[in-house]
Amino acid sequence: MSDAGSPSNAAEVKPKADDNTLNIKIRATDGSEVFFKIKKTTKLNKLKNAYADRVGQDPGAIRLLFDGQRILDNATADDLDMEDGDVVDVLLEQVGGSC
Amino acid sequence: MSTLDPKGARKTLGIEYGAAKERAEEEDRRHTQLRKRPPEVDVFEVQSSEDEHKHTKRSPGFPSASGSTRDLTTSRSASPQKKPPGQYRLISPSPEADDEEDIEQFSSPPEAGPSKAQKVSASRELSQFKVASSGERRPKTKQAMKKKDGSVPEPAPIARRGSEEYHEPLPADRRKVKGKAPADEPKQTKLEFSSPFTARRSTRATRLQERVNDPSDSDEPLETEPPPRAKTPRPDRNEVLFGWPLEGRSDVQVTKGDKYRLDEGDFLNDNFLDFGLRFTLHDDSAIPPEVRDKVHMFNSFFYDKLSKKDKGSKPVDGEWPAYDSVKKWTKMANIFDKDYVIVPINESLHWFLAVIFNPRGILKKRDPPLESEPAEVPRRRATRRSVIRPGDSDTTGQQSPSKSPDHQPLSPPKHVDSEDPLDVIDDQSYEDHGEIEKVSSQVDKMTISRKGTPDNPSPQPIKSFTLESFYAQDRPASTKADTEQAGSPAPKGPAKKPRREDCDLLAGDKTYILLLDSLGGTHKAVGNNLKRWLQFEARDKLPQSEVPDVEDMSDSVYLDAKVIEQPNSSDCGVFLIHYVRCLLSDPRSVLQFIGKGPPHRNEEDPAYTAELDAVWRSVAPKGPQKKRRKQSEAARADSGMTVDQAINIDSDSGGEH
Repeated sequence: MSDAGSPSNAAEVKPKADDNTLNIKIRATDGSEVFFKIKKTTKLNKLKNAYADRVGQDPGAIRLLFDGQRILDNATADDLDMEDGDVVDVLLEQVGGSC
Repeated sequence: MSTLDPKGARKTLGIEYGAAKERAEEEDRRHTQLRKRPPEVDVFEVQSSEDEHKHTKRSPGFPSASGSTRDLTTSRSASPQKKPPGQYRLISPSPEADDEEDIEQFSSPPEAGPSKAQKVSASRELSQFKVASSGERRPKTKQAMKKKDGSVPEPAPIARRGSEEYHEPLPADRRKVKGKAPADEPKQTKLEFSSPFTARRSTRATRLQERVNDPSDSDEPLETEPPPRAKTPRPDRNEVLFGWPLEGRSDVQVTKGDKYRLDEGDFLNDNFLDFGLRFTLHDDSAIPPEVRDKVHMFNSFFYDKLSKKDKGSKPVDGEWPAYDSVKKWTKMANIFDKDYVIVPINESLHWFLAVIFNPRGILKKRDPPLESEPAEVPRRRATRRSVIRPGDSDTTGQQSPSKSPDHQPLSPPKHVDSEDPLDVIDDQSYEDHGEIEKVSSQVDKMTISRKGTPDNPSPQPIKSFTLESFYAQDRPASTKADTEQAGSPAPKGPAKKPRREDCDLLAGDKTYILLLDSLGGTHKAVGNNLKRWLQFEARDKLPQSEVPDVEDMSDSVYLDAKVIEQPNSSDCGVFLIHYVRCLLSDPRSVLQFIGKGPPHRNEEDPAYTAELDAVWRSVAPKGPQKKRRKQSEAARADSGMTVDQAINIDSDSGGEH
């Protein structure tokens, strides 16, 4: 997916990414997208909090996933082998008991 | 620390929205100002910029723009009725604070500060942020969680609602005060991110120390009387309690807030579900290693994404956006090498489980649907075999492979023949099945082809397959056949008519999509979606030479598994985990049982019920107590025990059950 989407998107974000930073797209289930520039060594819970803040969510109620892996608080872009233009999915916390 | 500020550094470090450049620049300027203050609390600055505005309006005499965070605090305390509660939390000293926590604390305040909290703090004239944070946040958080769990129909609304609830007071507040601040949200974000330097951060304790020592702090009149509550630091509920697995990179983390989900009657969330599944999967005492290697476990968001309606629930022209959104999820694993693909599903506040058994089964070429000429059958079969399963051998005439399963290797279910439902029909019932009329043409064909090669076992799988799918998909159709009781553990005998046509999951090489719902629900759409996903996955991941066209792929068989059901309205998550544990610890008996046709509603079948209990309660000592164990585990961790200790103890005690 990012293969197709990243070139143009990255262009919009003006990919001035040097070696140390990445442009990351956070994509919500409703299709909305937010771009962030992060350092490769930045712990990604900062990204989550920034996004949560931006959309007015409790950071505890959203989940970031990168290629199906949960992005855990202490992970960095380096840990996950993220590349410039990668897409991070954001999903809402799921709760279930019965209905 | 003081050197870390630089605007430039912040720029690179900071996260910027592509969309809001100008705002960002303005923000930058403002921020640079802020940056000149003591660097101790970069996180606070995020909020402080807004505070400033507030203060400039409210108490003009205050040094707003250049004020340090401390100033802000002070001014806040001076006019407590105005302060947004969140700020206190920001400053709140929690012992285990590190730089992550700063962020977390910062970000959570907006949601957590209802106006009630403000009032309370105002009445106290509390100048001590600690107090406010520790005292008020807790109840709020709890309440929030309850709220979320509560009677709201859908997860998404809930989450949204929760945040609204918390948010509202704050923005309103801000709006009043905010004079020059154009927009709050983006600003915050940017500011927050401007301070990700670990180098700059001091530990929380250090910062506190600084604050204490700082004369300006002591100058504050309100700070002198700290309310008693302030002393107990309240850990942030978003703080990670532990990650799992404990070694290596974690797959899932459970936070302190999640812990409350273990309360009686509370619902499990995705964190716990994923944790529970992985905990189970790596429990050596329950799951044999050879089985574990054959399991692919998705997290609970997989089906969420796959079923998104706006992505297109069905492929169009060979494109399926929902599939594309999960295409990369399997980049590390070839699910066609697995026997079990575990797909936990959350829909409408309910957890249930889908298991794809033997996913490679769909790689066979599909049997000719309606225009199957008998002559063509052997050819197709030969093709299929050479491609998919060269070693496959027919064991013709084996009477009941399912009854002597022990010498059958489970992982590669290769035996095609077996005695399958076809025999039953052929022997006794095809002429008296009313339901067959519904698909008369199809059945006729099958009958014909069957008759055409009565002694040749090779067509068997093909026809039985079609027929089985037919039965599986049209369960009510088999009603007639059920009138005879067939609950005995040996349903294969031609003399007994099964209620649903029994499937021998172990003997066939078909793909089964099993649905385990602790409320007994049926989710055929899930079966269709997963089948489609398998087809796309095969097309996308496997070499083309091994994969027939999608149209030629075999169908999968959807089965609703009969399971023990939850006795309450809150435990489906726990039951889901238990099903996985049962299935993986004794796949053979569970799969055999699932293959059996269940009795119809209102139909008593003690034998079947007994078997149901036997199958699903065989590992009961561990399963049902899972929740309690996790709870105690969390409690232990909370009480200061390390997670490792807690888990060890837990698994020890688990072994004793």
